[in-house]
Amino acid sequence: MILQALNGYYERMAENPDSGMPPFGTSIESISFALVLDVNGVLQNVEDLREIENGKARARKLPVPAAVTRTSGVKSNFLWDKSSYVLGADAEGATEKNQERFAAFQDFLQHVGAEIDDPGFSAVVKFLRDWDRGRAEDVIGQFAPWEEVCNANLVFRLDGVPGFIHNRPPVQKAWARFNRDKESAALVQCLISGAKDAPLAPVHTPIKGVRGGQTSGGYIVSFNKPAFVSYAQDKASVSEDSAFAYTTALNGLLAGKSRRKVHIGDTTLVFWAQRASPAEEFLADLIEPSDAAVDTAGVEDDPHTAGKISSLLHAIRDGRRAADILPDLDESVQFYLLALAPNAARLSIRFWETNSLGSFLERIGRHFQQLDMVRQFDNEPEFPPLWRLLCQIAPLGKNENIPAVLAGAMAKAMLTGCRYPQNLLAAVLGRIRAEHVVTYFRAALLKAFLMRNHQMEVPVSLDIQKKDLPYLLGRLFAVLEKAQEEAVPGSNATIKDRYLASASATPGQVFHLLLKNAANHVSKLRKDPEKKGRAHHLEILTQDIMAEISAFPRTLPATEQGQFMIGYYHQRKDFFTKKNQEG
Amino acid sequence: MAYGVKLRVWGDYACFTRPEMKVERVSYDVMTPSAARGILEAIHWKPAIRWVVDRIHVLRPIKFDNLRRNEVSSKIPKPNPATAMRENKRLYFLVDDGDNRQQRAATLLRDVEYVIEAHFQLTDKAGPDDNEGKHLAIFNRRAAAGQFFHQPCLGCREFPAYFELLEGEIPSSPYAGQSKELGYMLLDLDFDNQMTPLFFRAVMENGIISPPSPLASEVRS
Repeated sequence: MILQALNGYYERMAENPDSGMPPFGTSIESISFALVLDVNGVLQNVEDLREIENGKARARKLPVPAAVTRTSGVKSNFLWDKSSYVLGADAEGATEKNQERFAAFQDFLQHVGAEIDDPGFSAVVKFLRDWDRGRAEDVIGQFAPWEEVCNANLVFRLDGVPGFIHNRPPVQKAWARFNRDKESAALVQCLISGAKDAPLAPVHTPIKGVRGGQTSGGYIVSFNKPAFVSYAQDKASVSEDSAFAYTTALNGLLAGKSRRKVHIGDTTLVFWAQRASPAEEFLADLIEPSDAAVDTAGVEDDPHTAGKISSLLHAIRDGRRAADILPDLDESVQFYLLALAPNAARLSIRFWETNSLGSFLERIGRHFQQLDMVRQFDNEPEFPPLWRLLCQIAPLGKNENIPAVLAGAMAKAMLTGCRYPQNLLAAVLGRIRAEHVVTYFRAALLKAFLMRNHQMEVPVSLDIQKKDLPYLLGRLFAVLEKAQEEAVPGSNATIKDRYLASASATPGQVFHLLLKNAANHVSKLRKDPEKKGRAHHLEILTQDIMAEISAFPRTLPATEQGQFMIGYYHQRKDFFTKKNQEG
Repeated sequence: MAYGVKLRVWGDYACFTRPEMKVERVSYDVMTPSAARGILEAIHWKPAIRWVVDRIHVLRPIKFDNLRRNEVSSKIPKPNPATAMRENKRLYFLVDDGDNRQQRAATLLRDVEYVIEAHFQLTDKAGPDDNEGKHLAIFNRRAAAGQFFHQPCLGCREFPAYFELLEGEIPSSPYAGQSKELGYMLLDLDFDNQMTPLFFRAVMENGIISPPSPLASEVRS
């Protein structure tokens, strides 16, 4: 299922030489410097390979002979490694441990390259033979700052010859032969490809780039404790080829600039298509619309794309088909969606969904249609991304305070079309009670929750025809608050700060008091000749709403409190909209 | 098959763990043949017979859910129970909570219902008293009465399976008229051969999976 689909993605990408999918036996690693040698192995230069990005130097991603999986032991890579292996010295100097590493690097080089006859390779051998570890800092320091080199990954280059030494054909041939001849533990039937008598992969490459995971990467396939082993099978029967393919594909999807991943809370989402589809490039923008993508202006690379995303989002929200905007879009392409979450050194699968592109777009559209809510301020996003919604239910509005399970469940609800998590309602109401503010995002969340989980009809903006009691109570509360605001401008604590929570939970106890106070506020306004009109207006409004309310219920259940908050938000928004029009 | 049985099983949760995603468990989409065999063996099994699962009918839509639980990371070391039994001592095993805890997430199935169609074969351990009719009668009687040796489960011990001997028609599946590739699936373990896992290419046709017999030569290579 998951691994098979990743395997398929690797095969699809590997057919295309421009995709940057490394072939079997190589991996993409972050390399910072190249040591430039002449044919006699004398160091000529230290070439800086880093790219400048946002004023910061960043290591370049280069295909190199596949990295070994290192934990605490000493294991060397072939023709590239950290300076402690290549030069036998790092920030701590030429320690004994580094001597061991340096020796391991040389041994491994000899082991793999015993039969290589290549000037580049022999230059490296000569260089290592003559290298004085103690003087590493001085020698390297002549060409590049030692403190930058000493923790970086290094490769070799032959002076005056383009390309790196690990890419020279005789070297590559030897590396391929080494990989083929490696004594493999056992022959098994691969559970990904089904191939029989395939060499078993002893360790799988760790998966990097999952937010919150360990920097060295996590494992999907792992048996790191005795309790995880059944029937004495402490390795999954996955062949070397398949293990390489799925880890490479997943690492590619999770790589830094990948357009095929989205972070939502602690969940990292990757997606890919069964066959090439233009949607692979923009689906991330639909799942998490960035402000830049929707507001069209200010996107440097391609303004057309940004405009397109915006019109696409509008189209799918209104229930139209994406094919109307992008005529060449094939909606029947199968898309795979994998949500990962870190758990110590392992990765757990939050959810996995396979469906056609069309139905994914439809679900995203439905999500945004249910979230659709009149905005309080114009600079708020029309299509709120999940992380901003989730920040609104986290204490202090901080990313790290988002309840972990909620983030994954929200993403799942959005993309699989299932219900929103049940504790969403309690979380939103709890936040409103704590902060006494009903923001656009919170109102939108309440609306989406009530519509999807309780099949309620909730309007986008103020609907004076709506006669639901909680909605009316919410509106009434907003009117009373407005009366107070106008009568006592600039007061420190309004009735919102004092009574929003209790008015929504126990209207029967609070509203009588509020109405009595409001009568005083309105009469104060009436005495002011300038505000007489306002007083009249508020009185009429109160009466209109009160006419529909037969009695104040003693308590409101949670769902009705949600409606109350939406009514309050709508009415309040309506006051401000009118004011703006007058001014 | 003359000695075939039909058993309807259902439950709230099920986790037919994929061997490759075993720590952070991810379930297969449907019941595996070895899980079905486990349920049958819980109801009736003797060394004289060997169950072979013929067909698995999927009667409810496949639905996944997530669960995060605190579990332990170690097993009771094997010598402990052995020595305890030999020396007639009490077996006790202390785990230090903090160091032995692992939080594990699981992606499992909700609200499952299957019909297992299976038959059994007599093994070479069958004595002169064993015959097919006898074991079939025992199974049918036990299943109809709801008897079992140990609680049948849906993949994991903590997800009990409810069962009922099915005598009438097999209800139709929500996947009738569809064909779905499920990829390679665990068929069973080859207990004669160092517990090597065996796999088969699972295809769900009309909501029915027909696994090959684990004894067939194309499965054991």
